[in-house]
Amino acid sequence: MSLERKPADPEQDPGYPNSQEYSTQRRTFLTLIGAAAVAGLGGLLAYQSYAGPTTSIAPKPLVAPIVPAKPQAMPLGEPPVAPQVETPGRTSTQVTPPEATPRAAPPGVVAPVQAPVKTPEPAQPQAIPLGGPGPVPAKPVTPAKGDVAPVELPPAHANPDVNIRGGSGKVVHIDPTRGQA
Amino acid sequence: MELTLVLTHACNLGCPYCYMGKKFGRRMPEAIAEKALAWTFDRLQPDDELQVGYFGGEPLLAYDLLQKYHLRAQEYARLKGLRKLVGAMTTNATLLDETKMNWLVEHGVVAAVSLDGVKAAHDLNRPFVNGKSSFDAALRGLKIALARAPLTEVLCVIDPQTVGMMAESAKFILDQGVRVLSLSLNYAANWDEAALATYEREYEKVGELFGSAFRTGGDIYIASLDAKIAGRLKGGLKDCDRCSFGVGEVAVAPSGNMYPCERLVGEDNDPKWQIGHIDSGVDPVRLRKVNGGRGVLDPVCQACPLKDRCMNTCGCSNAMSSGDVGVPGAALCLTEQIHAKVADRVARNLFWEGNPVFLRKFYHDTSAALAAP
Repeated sequence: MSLERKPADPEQDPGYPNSQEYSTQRRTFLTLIGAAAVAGLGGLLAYQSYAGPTTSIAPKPLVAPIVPAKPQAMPLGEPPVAPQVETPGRTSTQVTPPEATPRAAPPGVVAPVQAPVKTPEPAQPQAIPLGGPGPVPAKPVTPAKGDVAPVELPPAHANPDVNIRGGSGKVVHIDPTRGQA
Repeated sequence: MELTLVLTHACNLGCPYCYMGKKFGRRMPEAIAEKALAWTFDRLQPDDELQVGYFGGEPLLAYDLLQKYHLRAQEYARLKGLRKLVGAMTTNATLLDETKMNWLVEHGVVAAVSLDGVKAAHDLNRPFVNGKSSFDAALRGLKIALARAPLTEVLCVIDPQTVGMMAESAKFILDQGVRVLSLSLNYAANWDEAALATYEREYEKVGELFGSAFRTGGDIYIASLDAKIAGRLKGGLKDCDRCSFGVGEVAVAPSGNMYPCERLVGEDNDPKWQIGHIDSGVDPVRLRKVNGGRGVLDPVCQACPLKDRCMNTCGCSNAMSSGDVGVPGAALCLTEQIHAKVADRVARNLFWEGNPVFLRKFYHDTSAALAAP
């Protein structure tokens, strides 16, 4: 039975974006990610200034680990003086070891004082703070065209202008980018 | 612009589907080639690009002419300050050797090799003129071409006799290290519903091959699939993707007769398709007559949602499949629909898998490599 032409079935969404949609989606996504990151950071700083760092949500410490003070000699007859510690942004008298900063001993103070302040553990990878960007959506998540240097291109672009003819057919190669607005 | 010089009507193969018809020994005289180049370069500006195609018959039977005329084309290009000149040659590869391949690469001539796939398929339609198999010789030539030019394209003609072996043939060709493959339909053949159903089934398998290659990090190109995906990405094919039949594209026969496309040269004896002679140039009246029916879609195409992604404006494909440059034949129409369906399915899967090769290739998303597994 010979064939007859007929229009294709009504168009359905091919299920993948065209170039323009892809660029738009990517820009939107990156914008959202950026905004969420900024909001998360702002929220964290605000929280810290209000309540101070806690072990549960504290980000990686921003200050260097504290090195215990060297034992210093004290003049005889004077009572030992414990180093005072300050916790930025806090009003309570509670001492938080990782953030403690020993006050410099006054000139002439030589006596050892008391047990050294415990050195904090090295910083561990932190969970994303509350209010942060949340889980990253599945791929593809990529910067816009032109954001990165070009790499080796596949054959489709190797000879986009060479149209080969032969056999019984003629091959017109289509470059996805040619003729784009 | 594209200029095709039919260097010779002679061929050492006897392919029954060849649209060039009966083979004979007429070669293109130097005077004709010179006029064709002069005529073409007169119409070019320095900013333009030119592709000169060397066609036959088998162009390597006129390799001396190919070398001479391509060097002449390069000289014209230099004098004109042309932005880009590229040569292209379609060959059955049986006469290709390292020396010739080196020369072609060094002089910017891209070779494409015709091979119809596995031996059983190839031997059905591509025997030497003495009837013996050309498979081994063609495969040897292909390997020589690939060694020097890894992106050498293979043209594999599919007709109703070989369609049942299409996927197997595609796999065989890709297994040779080929990265650029064109599965080209023999539009002039008698395609019926059974053959078309086989075509669809086989093409689905070709789609799977295409997807598998991307999943293993390959970046192969299969013309009909790539074209359909590219058409989708661009929101429809653009003018630059369309056949330029007789306007930006001219074929010159050894006699000097001019045609809108090399596929219509045949034995150079059908005035219906002639649009002029190189002595007098393109005759606008003839060109209008040949080209007039193109670009206006008939009601079937108008109603088709795929019309903007379809090669329905390719004058020679239309002519070969329906006899009318303005109307695609049924085989062309229906296989284009199959190509779009399979291409969309494969592309959709690769996209949502976040395949880095796919994203880099089609969206030029180079950073997608970061997401590679």
